[in-house]
Amino acid sequence: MKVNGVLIEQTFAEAFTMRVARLVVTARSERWVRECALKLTGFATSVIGCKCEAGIERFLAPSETPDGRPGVSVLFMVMARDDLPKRLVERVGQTVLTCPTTACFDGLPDATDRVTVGGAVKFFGDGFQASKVIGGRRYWRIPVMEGEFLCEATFGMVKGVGGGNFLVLAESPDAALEACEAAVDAMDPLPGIIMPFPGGVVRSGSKVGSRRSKTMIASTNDAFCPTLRAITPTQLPEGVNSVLEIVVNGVDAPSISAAMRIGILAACRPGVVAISAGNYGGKLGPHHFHLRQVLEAPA
Amino acid sequence: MSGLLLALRAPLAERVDLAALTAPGWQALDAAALGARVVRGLRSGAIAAGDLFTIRGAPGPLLTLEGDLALADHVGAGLDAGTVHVRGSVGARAGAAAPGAKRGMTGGALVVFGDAGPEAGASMRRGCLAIAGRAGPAAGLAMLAGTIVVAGAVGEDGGRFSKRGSLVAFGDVTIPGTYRHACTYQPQVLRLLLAHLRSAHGFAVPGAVFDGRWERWSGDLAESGKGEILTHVRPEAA
Repeated sequence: MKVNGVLIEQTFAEAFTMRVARLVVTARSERWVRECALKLTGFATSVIGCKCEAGIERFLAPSETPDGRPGVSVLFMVMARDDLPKRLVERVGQTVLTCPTTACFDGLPDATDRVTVGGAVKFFGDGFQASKVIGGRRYWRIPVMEGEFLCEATFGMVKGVGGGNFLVLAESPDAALEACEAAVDAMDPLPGIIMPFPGGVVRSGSKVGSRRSKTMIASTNDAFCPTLRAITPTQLPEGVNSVLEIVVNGVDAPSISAAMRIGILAACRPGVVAISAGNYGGKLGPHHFHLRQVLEAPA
Repeated sequence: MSGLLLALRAPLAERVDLAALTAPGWQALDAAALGARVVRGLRSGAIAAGDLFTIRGAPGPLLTLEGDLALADHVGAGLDAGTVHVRGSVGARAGAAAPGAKRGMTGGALVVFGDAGPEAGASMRRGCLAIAGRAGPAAGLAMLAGTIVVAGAVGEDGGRFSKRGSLVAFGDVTIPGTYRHACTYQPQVLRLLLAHLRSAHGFAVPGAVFDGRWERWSGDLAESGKGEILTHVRPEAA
């Protein structure tokens, strides 16, 4: 199968079930929404080293937020359900509580599985905190030097999917990067997904484990490293000199499938030789996104 | 939101205590069952609610009262969940503790699209009482917690002996001497609350109020001092 002359390899992306929370953060202005979102989702590229994966889902107009101010929707994902409250409490406590003018709301209010967040962050209030129940949802008012920080008591948690991906195999680093930029731009507006790596793009795709160290759980994906083509069992076609990966997490498999389709189509441009995907033989992750099936699915 | 609609059959000729109307369990009652609940007239004694109101609709979480209920006391007393809308004014102790009860509302929302008499929300424990008109004297008397929003003026002694309650006043209010000024600010919880009152209940909130600044008064310092009166700072005074 080829798209715009780019080979779509007969392979699949292998993804995992993760636990997801959606945070809606509002602030007085878009400036402070952005400042908070960047800190909140910082250092959250991969559970391998960051304990969680997070990203901006989309920015929200005042008419879309609970308090009528500019806002942002952020997705947080972890592997184990017990990890989510820890990650949320430490990140909300350090990046949203601290950010001027912000308030923090649950973006999954219908989820029956609940995680205590405001109900833990409240202890910063040292006994001066107070709660209000509005529309059946409890909010904590935590006094801070600026005024008050408002944070919803509990957040919904649902099962999502993490690790959807595709690899852009290109003739040059410039061609790979331009293709990925086009893909990310096309995928970015889609709801229900995040791309947790810098600018949505990963240059250091990994394989499970390490040749040299038993303690490392991941190391460089040498089969796709152009500099190692001559000394490893390479998977790179002739003419490929650079590979970049786009990783996409989502609230469900259809969201990821739709995003991969749009991203791959955008990435199939001059200078790109092939599109591949990362997997572990299909034995680790329950979600398999076959590239050709993804592209053949109705838009 | 579905529920029963109660329309006053005729103007009230005497004070009536409607506490029994919203005693727990009302959401599951159909028109006949709610009409059989016994309320009390000051002179007449026991009266079936169905004799005072025509009742129609299906059981649900919303109870709507229509008519001038200025002579009706204890409207919404004992409310623990659901929503009560009153399309008119109410008498004394709306949302307050019913006779013999220790606590007033313990949940839900009571929205009065008119004036409220004395001691509205007295001894409230939880929930929200919103009054589109004026509130009589001693609104929020001895509140344990919960929120009272008054769009009009608040009578004297509002918030007296409140422990942790919030009294939110768009209009004039005399701050009791046992409250102390804290600051002028924009509490986000109020934007959330007012947005909810607008969207869920059709409660009118002027833009200047929604976006405005508020004076926070802490009290009652004769109690724990964890309560508050929030007064809107009018633009000309800002």
